[in-house]
Amino acid sequence: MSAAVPTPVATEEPAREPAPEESAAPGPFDGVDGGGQGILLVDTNGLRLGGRLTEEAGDPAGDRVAAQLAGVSREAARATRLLGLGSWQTIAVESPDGHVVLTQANADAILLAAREATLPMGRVTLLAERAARSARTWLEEHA
Amino acid sequence: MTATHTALDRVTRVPGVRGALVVAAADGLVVAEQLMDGVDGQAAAALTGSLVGRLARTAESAGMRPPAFVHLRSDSGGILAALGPDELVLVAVIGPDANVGLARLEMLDAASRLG
Repeated sequence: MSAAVPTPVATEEPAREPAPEESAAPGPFDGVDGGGQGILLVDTNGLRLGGRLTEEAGDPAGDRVAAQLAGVSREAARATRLLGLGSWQTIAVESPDGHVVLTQANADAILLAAREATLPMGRVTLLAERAARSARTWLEEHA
Repeated sequence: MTATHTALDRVTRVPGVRGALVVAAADGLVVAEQLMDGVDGQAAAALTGSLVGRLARTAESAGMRPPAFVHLRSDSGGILAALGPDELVLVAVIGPDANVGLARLEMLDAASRLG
């Protein structure tokens, strides 16, 4: 008598793909209203630490922007120091296609907030400052 | 009076502006300047030219056209830059009490007439 071969039982729920780390782990802008998109946290080497610029998978635009921001903090600090203007606080950039504000999250990280050009620059600056405070806490927790 | 000098005149009349200069963005050299004593025009031109170039590339990477206006705010004032035609940039060095809103409007209009 041969032993019956057990029939594989189909599970009701198929095995789920592991969620990308970016969406599973707490992000630097979780508590920030409007922090889901258009905010980036970038290190001094031009690498993205958190946030995203677009909804596109992998956010390649965010990575390209992060790479361009490598050294911008040093450059801004040099400009203000040589002109006797103290430490830099924010850089506001007005393009016909959008408003961008850069600010320092800490000595090793810079924050970028981008919004459409119809949003007043002052509002984008407030968003950037709120996001920078949130990022500072996140960086301290993950240091 | 040339368009460049008219532009500098208009910007330096704004309260709190310590000086203004027109910079060639490509090489960061001073084209014309009107500065208060103690403001280093060469440094302002070189550093602003470089920073504006980097920010233009950043905007391009984000899918945006080049910036029309940049405001670098610091503890004791800041730097304003308005991009004009022919890769010319109108730059202002401002103190902490400057009327930034008025300076911005004057600079955007004056920069569009450069070249």
